[in-house]
Amino acid sequence: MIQLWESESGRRLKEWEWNGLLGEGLFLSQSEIIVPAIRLTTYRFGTEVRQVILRMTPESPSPTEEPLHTATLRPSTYARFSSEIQKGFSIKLHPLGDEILYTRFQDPPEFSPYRKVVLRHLSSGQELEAGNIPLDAPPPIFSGVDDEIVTTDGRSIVTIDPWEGKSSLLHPTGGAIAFAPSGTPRIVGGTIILGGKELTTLPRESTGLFSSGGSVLVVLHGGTAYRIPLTVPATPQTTDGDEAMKLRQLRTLRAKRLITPLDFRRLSPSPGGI
Amino acid sequence: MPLIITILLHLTLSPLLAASPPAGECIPCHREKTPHAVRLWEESAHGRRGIGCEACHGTDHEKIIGKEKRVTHAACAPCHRKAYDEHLASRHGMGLHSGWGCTRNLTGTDRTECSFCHDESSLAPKSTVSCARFMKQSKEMRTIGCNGCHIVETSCASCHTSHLTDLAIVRDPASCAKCHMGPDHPQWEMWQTSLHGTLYDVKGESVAPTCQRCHMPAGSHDVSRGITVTSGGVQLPGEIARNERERMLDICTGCHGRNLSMKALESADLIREQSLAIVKEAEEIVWDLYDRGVLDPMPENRPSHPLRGNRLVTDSQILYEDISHIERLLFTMKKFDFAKTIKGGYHQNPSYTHWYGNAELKMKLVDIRSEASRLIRLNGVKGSPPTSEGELELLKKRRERGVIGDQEYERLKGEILERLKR
Repeated sequence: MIQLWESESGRRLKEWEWNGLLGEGLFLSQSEIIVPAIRLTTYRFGTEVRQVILRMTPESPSPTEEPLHTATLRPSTYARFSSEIQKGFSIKLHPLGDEILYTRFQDPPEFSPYRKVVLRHLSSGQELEAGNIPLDAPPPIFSGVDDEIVTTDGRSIVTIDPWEGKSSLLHPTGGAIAFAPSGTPRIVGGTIILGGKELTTLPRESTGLFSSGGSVLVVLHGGTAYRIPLTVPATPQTTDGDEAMKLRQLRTLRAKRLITPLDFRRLSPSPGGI
Repeated sequence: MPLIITILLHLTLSPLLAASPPAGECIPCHREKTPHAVRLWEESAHGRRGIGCEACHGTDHEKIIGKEKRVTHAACAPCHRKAYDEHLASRHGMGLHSGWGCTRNLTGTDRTECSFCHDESSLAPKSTVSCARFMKQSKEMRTIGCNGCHIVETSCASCHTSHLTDLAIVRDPASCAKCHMGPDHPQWEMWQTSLHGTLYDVKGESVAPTCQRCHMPAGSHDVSRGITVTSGGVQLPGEIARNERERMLDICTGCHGRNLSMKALESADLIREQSLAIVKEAEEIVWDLYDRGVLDPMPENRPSHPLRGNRLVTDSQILYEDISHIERLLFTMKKFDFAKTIKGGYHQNPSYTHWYGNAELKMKLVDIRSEASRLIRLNGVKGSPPTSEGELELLKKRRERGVIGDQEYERLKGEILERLKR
C-alpha cells in the first residue's frame, strides 16, 4: 500500500494499492512521486526479481509501472540473500532531479551474485552501467560532483566517475557514508567531514542523513535518531535557474549519447560541480 | 550408326525404364480422365521413346492425387544433367530463393507449397530467404501471382510446359513473356519494341536475336550469362563483372563491331549509375522523414512488416501496401522505374530508357520532395528540428545509416555545439 499524506494537516490525500515490495519513494516535483518496487515470482529453478519504478501524482488512479530490470536468482542465492532482497532496493535522486542511481540484481551462472550500479536518465530512460558491488553492500550514493558515485563493499569506500569509467579509493576502510547534496558536508567511513576538516567520528553501526542544504545531520544509532545542526558555509545554489537548466539540457544530450563526456565538460557552465 | 545410337539411348534410359512400371498401366484410365495430357505425351519425345508417366510422376497414386508429389526439376535431372546444372547456377535456379518465405503460419496455407523449401518429412528449410511481399499475399495471390513465376527454380515445366517436349515452344521469345513483362521488369516488351524485336518480327531469327539467342546461347540454361549487375541493379564485383561483360560482348560481336557493342553497354552502365543516384536521393529523403517521426503513418502505427516488424524498410524487402504514401512513391521508383530505365538501356529501347524509366524516376523524385515538404510543414516543430537536441539526434541517425562519415559528423556536430555554447 502506498499512502500520500499532507504533513501540515496530517490528512491522508491518496492511497494506491500495489502488490509487491516497496522501497523509499521520492518526490520528483511538488506532485510527481516515484517509488522503487520489486515483484518476486518463485519458480522451481529460482526466484524472478522484477525491478520497476512506480510513477504517480495525487491525481493518478493507479501507479504507472516503468520496468527497470528482471533477473532470476538461483534458489541458493535467494536463500542466502533473501533478507537483503526483501528490503527492496533504493533509488537516489540526483540533486538536479533528472537522474536516479539504483542497483540491479545479477546472478550469472558460474559467477558470484552481485549488484550492477546503474545511472538512469529519467526522461529518456537511457542508462549507464557504472560498476558492480556485492549483493549485500549498502546502496551507492551521489557525491555531489557531477555524476560521481560513492560506493562501498564494506571494506573500502570508492568514488566512481561513471562517464569516464574511472574509480578511485576514497577511504581504505568501510563504515557509514553520507553526502549532502552539494557534496559537503559528508560522512566518510563514519567520520563527519566539513570543509575538508574531520569533525568527529560516529559510533560503529550508526548511519547518517543530511538535509537538502546540508545544515542538519540526522544520525541513527541504536534505534534512536539524533539531530545535529551544522554550520555550513553558503554555497551558490545551482539546482535552479538558467545555469541549472543549461546543465540539465547538456546532461540530457550526454545521456542520449548525442554528445561525448568530453563535449559535456567543454560546454558545462560549472564543470565538475552541480 | 543407327545401331550405336539405339544402344546408347537404351543405356541412358535403362535406369528409368527399369524403375518404373510401363506407362500402359496409367494410359487406359487417363485417356478418359485427362485425354489432352495423354495426347501431348504421346506426341512428345518422352512418349515416342517410351518414357512413361511413372518416370516423372512416381508410382504412389494417392500422393499424386493429393498433389504431394509435384514433378520438380529433380525428376528431369537424371537425364538432362547439363541443363539441370546450368539452370541451378543461373538466376532461374534461385527463383524461389529470391522470392519466398515460410507460409506455415499464414492464413490459407497451401500444403503443397511446403515442398518448395522442404524435403519430405524434413523441417529443415532448403531456403532461408524470405520475401515480405510474398508473405503479405492471400493464398490465391501467392499461388498465381507469386508462384506462377518464381516456381521456375524447381519446375522445368514452368518454361517447357508439362507434357510437350517441342523445343520450338521454349525457343520462342513469347515463352519468356509470362514472367518477363509488366511494370517490374518488362524485358519482353522492350525487346519486342526495339529494333531487335522489329527485325525479328519482319525477318525472323536469321536476322535478329531473340531473348534466347543473347541470354541462352547455344541452348545454355544459364540465363544469367553476360549480365553484370544484380537483380537490384547493383554492379557485380570487378572480376565477375568483367568476365560476364566479355561473355556478352562475344554474343554482340556475332552481329556488331566490338567497339559499338562495348560503347552501347558502357552507356547503359552509366545510365544505371545515374539512375541509382536518383533512387538513393529519394530513399534518403524518406529516411530523413522517418528520423523526424513524420511519415504518415509511421511504421509503429501500421501493420508490422512480416520480416522486420514496426520499422521502416526501403531495401529489397520494401512493401507496396501498409505503408505511407511517400514510401509507395519510393517503391515505384525502385521496383518499376529504375528497373525500366536500366533494362531499357541494356536492351537498347529508347522509350523504356527515357520516358517509361528515367523520366518517371525524375518526376517521382519531384513528387517525393514535394510530399516531404508537405509532411514537414504539416508537422511543424516536430518536422523541422529547431532544437539542438533534435538536430543532434538527426545527425546521429544519419551517421548510423552511413549517410555521413565520421569527419562530416564531427564537423556538423561542432557547428551545433558552437551555437549551443552561445
